[in-house]
Amino acid sequence: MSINYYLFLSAALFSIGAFGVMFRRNAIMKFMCIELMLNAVNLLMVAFSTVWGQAQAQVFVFFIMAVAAAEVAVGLAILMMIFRNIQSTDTSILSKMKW
Amino acid sequence: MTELIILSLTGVAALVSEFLNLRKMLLPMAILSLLAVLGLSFLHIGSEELIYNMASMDRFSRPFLSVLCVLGVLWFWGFRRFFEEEKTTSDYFALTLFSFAGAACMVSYTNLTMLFLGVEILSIPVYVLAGSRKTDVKGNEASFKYLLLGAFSSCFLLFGIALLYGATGTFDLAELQSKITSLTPDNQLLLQVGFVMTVAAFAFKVAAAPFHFWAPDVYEGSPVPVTAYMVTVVKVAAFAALLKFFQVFEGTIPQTVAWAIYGLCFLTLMVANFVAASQRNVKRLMAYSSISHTGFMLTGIFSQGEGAENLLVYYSLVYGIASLTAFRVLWYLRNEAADIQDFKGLIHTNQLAAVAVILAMLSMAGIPPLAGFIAKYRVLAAALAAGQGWLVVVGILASLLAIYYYFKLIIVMFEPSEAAPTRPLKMADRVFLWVCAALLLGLTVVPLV
Repeated sequence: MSINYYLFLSAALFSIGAFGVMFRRNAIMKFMCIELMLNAVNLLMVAFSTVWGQAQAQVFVFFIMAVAAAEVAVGLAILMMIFRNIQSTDTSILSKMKW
Repeated sequence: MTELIILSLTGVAALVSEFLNLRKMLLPMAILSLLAVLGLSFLHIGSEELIYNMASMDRFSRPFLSVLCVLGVLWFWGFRRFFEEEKTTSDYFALTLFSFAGAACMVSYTNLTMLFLGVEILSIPVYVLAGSRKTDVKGNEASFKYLLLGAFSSCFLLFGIALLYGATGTFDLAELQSKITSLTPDNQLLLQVGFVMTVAAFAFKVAAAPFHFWAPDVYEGSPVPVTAYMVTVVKVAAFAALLKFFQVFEGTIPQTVAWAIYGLCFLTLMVANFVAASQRNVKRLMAYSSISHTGFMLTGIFSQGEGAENLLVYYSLVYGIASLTAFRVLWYLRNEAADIQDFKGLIHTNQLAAVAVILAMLSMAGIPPLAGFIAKYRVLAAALAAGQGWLVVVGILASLLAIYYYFKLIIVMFEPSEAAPTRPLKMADRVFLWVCAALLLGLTVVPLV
């Protein structure tokens, strides 16, 4: 099977995630979209790793997963902190600063 | 290798010190470890050490690491009250030291895996630090925006790296460079898209227009010491990483991409300075001023590439010291977001602070006898040598605009004010300001590397 299918699929997933981050209001949804983008990258990495017949990209995927977990842990902690202050996860409230 | 070990171990020691009751030892320990890394970098400045093919300490990374250490020492020294006031002292120390280890990875990577890990190790602690004022909604907003945009740009970085890997089959920079010229047309396309996405991710990280919109909000909302950390250490590390990445591709970039890159420099220089001119909040003003310096540093990187490290090391040292001085005085006047009027009559109430700010502002504006002038001159000379005369004109126009808003602040300081004299600075802070002022003046005559 051609690598192009994987390329298009992960590009599509990545774009869906990117648009979600930009246009979703809910902070949790934004985080899920970031995860979607990361998983698109993981898919691409594994596909390329098979094309080149090497394992290094698959090891890279483990790094991405570990780092994503760390990022989500910090992100959810920040969200909890925000929720305590404004009782909401709607990010449109978070626009105290402009220009 | 030793440098990385020292930094990480100090971070771990900072965590442990919480229950060993060694909190008083943290500041000297942090400063000593940074000085040790600085000493090691100077001692081995000419030698080369490859760390498991993942990173290397060489003529490129050691000068950048030294600059980071100098800025780090000054930062710990100038903003030590940030740690004293809080209950969670050791956590803050550990977070900053870990992010420092990330910065060390970023300046020394030779493998894209290490670049990604360095970026994340550097950023994740800073997300937490940005939100360290837990009950302040502005601080929360800053922290959240920084995290979201940081993660977003990391995704782009990763997608770019994946495409580069797909095109060449390697994560190693040297191997990558050797394979660029012998690719099939399909892989060539993958490589170009990968390059553009990675550069876009870097543009996010260093806050270059049009990817800069998060920066003023984050810089304004975070506590002043953390903002100072972000505009100095974080930024310098990101620039070093970008330069190293760019050097691999230099000479093989197609014309259209090259124009897009110069467009990035142009936009950054223009947008930052025009918007900065209309700011009244000093923290935000400094944020835009930092973006305008981003524009200059990008110009330097993209027009010289190979050999631009000397120029960038010098520029980031001068810019970093000037920023630290300005933020230190800002923090002294007002713990939080300061209006320009807070600087009113500073020259009458506290001369040393006023003189230090004036020197920092003049240096950032690039007024001749100061180090900032030499730094800007070297950047513009590099752009001219690369045949980008129009970028030189843009750079000079941007500097002229910058003079307007830097002088706005300086003029306010000379106005008479009825306000009571501010509380005097502590001895150590006065020494800090003296050292910064001396460095800003002294670096002019020191022909750096």
